[in-house]
Amino acid sequence: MSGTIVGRVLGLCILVLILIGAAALVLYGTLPDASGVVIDAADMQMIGVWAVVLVVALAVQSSAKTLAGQIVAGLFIALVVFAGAMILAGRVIPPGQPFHLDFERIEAAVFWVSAAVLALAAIAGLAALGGLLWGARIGWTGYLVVAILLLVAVAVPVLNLWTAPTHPLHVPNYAVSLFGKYLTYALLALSVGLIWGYCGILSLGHGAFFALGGYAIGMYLMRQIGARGVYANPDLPDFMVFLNWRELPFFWHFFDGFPYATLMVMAVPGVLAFVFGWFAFRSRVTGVYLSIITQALTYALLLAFFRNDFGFGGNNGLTDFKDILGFNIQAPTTRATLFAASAIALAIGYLMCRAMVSSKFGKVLVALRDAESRTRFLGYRVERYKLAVFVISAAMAGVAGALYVPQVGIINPGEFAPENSIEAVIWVAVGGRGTLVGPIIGATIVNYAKTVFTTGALAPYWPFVLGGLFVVVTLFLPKGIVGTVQMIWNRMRERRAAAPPREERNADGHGTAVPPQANPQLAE
Amino acid sequence: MDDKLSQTVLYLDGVNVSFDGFRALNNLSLVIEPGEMRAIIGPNGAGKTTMMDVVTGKTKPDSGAVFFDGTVDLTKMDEASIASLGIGRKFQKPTVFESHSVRDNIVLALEGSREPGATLFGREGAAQTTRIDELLRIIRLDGKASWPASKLSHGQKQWLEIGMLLAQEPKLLLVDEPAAGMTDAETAETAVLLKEIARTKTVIVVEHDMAFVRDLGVKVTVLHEGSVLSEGSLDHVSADPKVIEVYLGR
Ligand SMILES: Nc1ncnc2c1ncn2[C@@H]1O[C@H](COP(=O)(O)OP(=O)(O)OP(=O)(O)O)[C@@H](O)[C@H]1O
Ligand SMILES: [Mg+2]
Repeated sequence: MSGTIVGRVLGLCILVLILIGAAALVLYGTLPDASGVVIDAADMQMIGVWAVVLVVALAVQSSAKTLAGQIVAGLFIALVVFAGAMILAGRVIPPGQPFHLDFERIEAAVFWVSAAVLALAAIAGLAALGGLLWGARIGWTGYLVVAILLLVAVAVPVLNLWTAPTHPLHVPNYAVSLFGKYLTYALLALSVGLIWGYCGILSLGHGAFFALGGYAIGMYLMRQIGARGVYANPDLPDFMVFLNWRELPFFWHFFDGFPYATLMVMAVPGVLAFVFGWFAFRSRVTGVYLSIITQALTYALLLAFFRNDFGFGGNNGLTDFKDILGFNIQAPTTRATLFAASAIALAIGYLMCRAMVSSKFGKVLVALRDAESRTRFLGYRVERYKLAVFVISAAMAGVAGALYVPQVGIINPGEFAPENSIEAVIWVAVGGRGTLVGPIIGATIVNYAKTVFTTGALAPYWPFVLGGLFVVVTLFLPKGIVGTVQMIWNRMRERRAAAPPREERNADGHGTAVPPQANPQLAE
Repeated sequence: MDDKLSQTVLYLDGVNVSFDGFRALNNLSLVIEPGEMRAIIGPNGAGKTTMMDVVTGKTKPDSGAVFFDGTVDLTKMDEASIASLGIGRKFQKPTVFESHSVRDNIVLALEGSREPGATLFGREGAAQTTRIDELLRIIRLDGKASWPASKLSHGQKQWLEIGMLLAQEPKLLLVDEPAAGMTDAETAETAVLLKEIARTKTVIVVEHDMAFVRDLGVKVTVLHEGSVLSEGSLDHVSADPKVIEVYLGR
């Protein structure tokens, strides 16, 4: 087993690193007259975080059974080793000693390593998507949805930027931002729809992953402000100056690099989902209990992010962004680009989910949704499937959050509010659980309704409307809008065919949501 | 480990299971040899299904030994790893994946890697397609391959589950009441099918239908109140006064 050997060697390396670190701590850190080095509380926190990530990396490594999984886990561990080495070189080994690195060097190293990892991840992601699509039964409806999203990605920016405001097809600036926001909500809904509709995991805390992705990009945007803040402090964001902080907390380091921030957009929700799922699925927490703890998760994060000393701007969150990748964040061109990016991200996310659910993997998900223990008796490790799809879904929600924040210009702890997560579930229910296009449609329709309502005199009644909508949908349209359309379409087909059930091969595994003679490709 | 143990496919010794103080299995011992087909009978609540639960990892015994292939301790493993060893099970209440098509039910059961990566990127090969078609013919559902499993009759679901069991290519098959809810003709066909399967595999069948058990013509174990009451040919156990008392006493 080459994989386990890789793991052991890496584990050993880490052990050695820890021992060196401990030795260095003893030698330099704790001595009163240590040559200029101070291991303070922040360093201890940093080392603590590092240790947690290390444990996660080892857990990933031990649960990865395929070669590809081992490679991914190996890379992950290599990154942790790199982080450990940087902590060692920057903080533990004092200046002047061999192997000491000053902070600028470390920053540069982290920037380039992040860029390399991001490039690698992009290549691997494209290869994986290609592998998924190869021989997958996407169906014409799937490609139609992708085509529509890509058309929207091109048409809306073009109509916004290159038509005169008087032109009948002109899309005003406010509409670009508004619909761009809906697109990110749609991506969040898709991530919820994937795990709820196909795997039966009802997450009432997906807003947390969305918000974490948003905070990660928000931190990047905060660092881009530089000295242009109210206090004109080049090193610290305004809220830290206001709180009389003297230096940047370690978890804010490196966020001025876009590759690093982008990685964190996916990694932070992904790692949190992994740790959470690792415990929850392994101990076979399911159904309503799982929903409750996901809700607790987002609530706990809400409380934490509200605190000033948590280090993310407290109550006010992060705002007053100036630019992104050097472009003014308010400029119409930037907004149009962000819109296009959101539409493309949604198209990619949709295509990925579609390919996933139409593979045998997707069939296993539906199988375990309907009969979990039966699936175990066939030899499937149900918890691994749930963990994989939960982590993918969380990273997707993180990307959605990261596209949302630059378009709305603010991220605050309110995004962690349990209501947000519940709303996302309602979008899916309205659009159609057990389909992939349903969440997209549901998120768009419900949010459009919300915009209409909350800008009028009826604003205070929106929660009642939303609740009422949920009740009406569950009672009268249990399959949601898309599911109902599918059902009617199938009835008509059936009547025309008037033959014994002859469905096409259930290609994308969302069989239950559609009636028996379904052509599952419809409306997807 | 003694010689006898190493020559067994399944070895249960002194197995106890209790639910809230109720002893479902009471010092149960059972030995199944390679290639054997064994019928297990017993009144309702005798512990037949519980015995299968213990073997397949659904229920952990309070005490006792459960070994597969003489050396593999099943009490230390979970359902998925036990299934991966080659122990397949048909449930008393037919449990097929209702929302999947008949064919997809077989696809999911088909022998092969169970890892997420493999199911995500793997594609069905020609050999697998052939095997799936063959299995569908064996269980007489080739004409209904694209039907949702929920549309099948009770008997057809039983057959589909047997097909899924075969698709796993297990070494040991645990078959819980395969003929329940079947017509007489279907029952007879099921007996033929099981005998066919038993030529190459080890099979344990639980059944109440005595005609069916007679059709099988194999060694019978009678369970009662969680332990073995009698063992031998069907004629032998039917003549056993203890067995007669249990069955007539009810
Ligand atoms: N999970 C459980 N909790 C409590 N009691 C249980 C549980 N499973 C089984 N039992 C009890 O254990 C006893 C044995 O049940 P088991 O299902 O093994 O019987 P069986 O021989 O398969 O009967 P049948 O012929 O009716 O299928 C029964 O009295 C049953 O009520
Ligand atoms: Mg039973």
